[in-house]
Amino acid sequence: MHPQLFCSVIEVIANKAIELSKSSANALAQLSEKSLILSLSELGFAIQLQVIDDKLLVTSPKSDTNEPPATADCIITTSLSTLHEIKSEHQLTELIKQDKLDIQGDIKVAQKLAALIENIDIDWPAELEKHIGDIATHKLITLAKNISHKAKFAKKQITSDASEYLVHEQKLVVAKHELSRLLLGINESEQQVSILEQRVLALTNKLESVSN
Amino acid sequence: MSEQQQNNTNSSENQTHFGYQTIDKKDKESLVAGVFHSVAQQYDIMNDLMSFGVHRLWKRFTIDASGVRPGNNVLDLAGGTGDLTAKFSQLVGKDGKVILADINSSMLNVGRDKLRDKGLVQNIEYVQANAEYLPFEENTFDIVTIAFGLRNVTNKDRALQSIYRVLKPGGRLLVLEFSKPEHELLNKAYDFYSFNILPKMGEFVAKDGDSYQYLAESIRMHPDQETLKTMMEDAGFEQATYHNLTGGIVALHKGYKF
Repeated sequence: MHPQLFCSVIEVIANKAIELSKSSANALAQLSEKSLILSLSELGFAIQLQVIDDKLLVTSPKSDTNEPPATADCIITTSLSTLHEIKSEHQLTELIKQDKLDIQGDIKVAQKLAALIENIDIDWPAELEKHIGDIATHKLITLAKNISHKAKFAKKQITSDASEYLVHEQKLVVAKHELSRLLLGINESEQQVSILEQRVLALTNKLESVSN
Repeated sequence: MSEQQQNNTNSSENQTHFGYQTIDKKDKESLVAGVFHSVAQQYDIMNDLMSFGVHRLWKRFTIDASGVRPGNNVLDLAGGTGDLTAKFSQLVGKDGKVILADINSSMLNVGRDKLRDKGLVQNIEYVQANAEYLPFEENTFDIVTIAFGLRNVTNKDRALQSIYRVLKPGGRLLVLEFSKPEHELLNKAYDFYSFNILPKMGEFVAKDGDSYQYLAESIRMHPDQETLKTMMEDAGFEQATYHNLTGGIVALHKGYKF
């Protein structure tokens, strides 16, 4: 039932967003009675989007072999990564050539739907006012702006500190060639110590034999 | 056959279940009607509470599996408060038609008010009908659904035959109904929930624990997945299949008339 859960969540969120966005009414009216089937390789199931009575209906059609396959004004088979590229018309041919995209029907339906979703513009303060009142909304918005400002400042500060730290660290960090040179020096010293040890041992033995 | 044996056979033929009780067949309709008259007003709230909202996904699954198309004629049998009808109405469009049928007038009234409040009026008709004797001509519907209703029908075989009669060739029946959980552990947890928590929830919210005790009992007395599939095949349905949902707590059966 994952497809149903997914479609259910998408349907609720999309319709609420469209309802709250004043600019969406016209765009939705242009799509009245239109439908789109989207098969994304990452999802593993198809989603059907239909605009009926100013609402966006999201379903996951499942056809048995006994039934004709689901139909729509536009059927798109692609991947999530390619999806955002279909907005520009001049890229479509290239994507189809590369087997990244398969389109049946009217691509304008998909483009209008993408534009509708992209142009959703919700007046959040006005919506918030309806629920918690003017003063509380003003305070909440001011608080949110302050937090956002501080967060931006903190982010900038952290980025700057991190860059400075990295620059200093870079100076101190031992490079690979330096490390190998050091290891080589250690090896040479080890060999020299070993030679000296043997010479000292030989001299000691010689002294002992002379004194005897 | 002795007179006593003859009497016993007649007696079992005339008897059926109402939850765990054995009653005369003629009484079941009015007893079930009593349950649904009682719970109709709180039906949707209780559905959400009892299933933690999952019934919405079960119904969505049914819609998705129905293969409904614009222009289809759909019969939502035992449609109650119209959850399936609402979606079907949008999907069949202005060229299609959905009939919300229920034997219980209270449920039908609640469903009708709810759908009208949602602005769904143009392609929906309401019919008070008994699933065993559907008042429609042969070969009328592309799709018939019965969601959480078949277990309350007195003579299920007769209802399946009646549904078969009204389906068009190529049409399909979808039965969404409580069934038998696939795993023993889930079955035990489900039993505990059904017999200990559900009636108390019904008592608290709908002020009617008995109706929800009946609900739990009627689910246990309902045929399991394989039995219902065989019953559908016996009624004439072809390519009958079922799909377990939520571990078999609910199953969606589907069969075709060719």
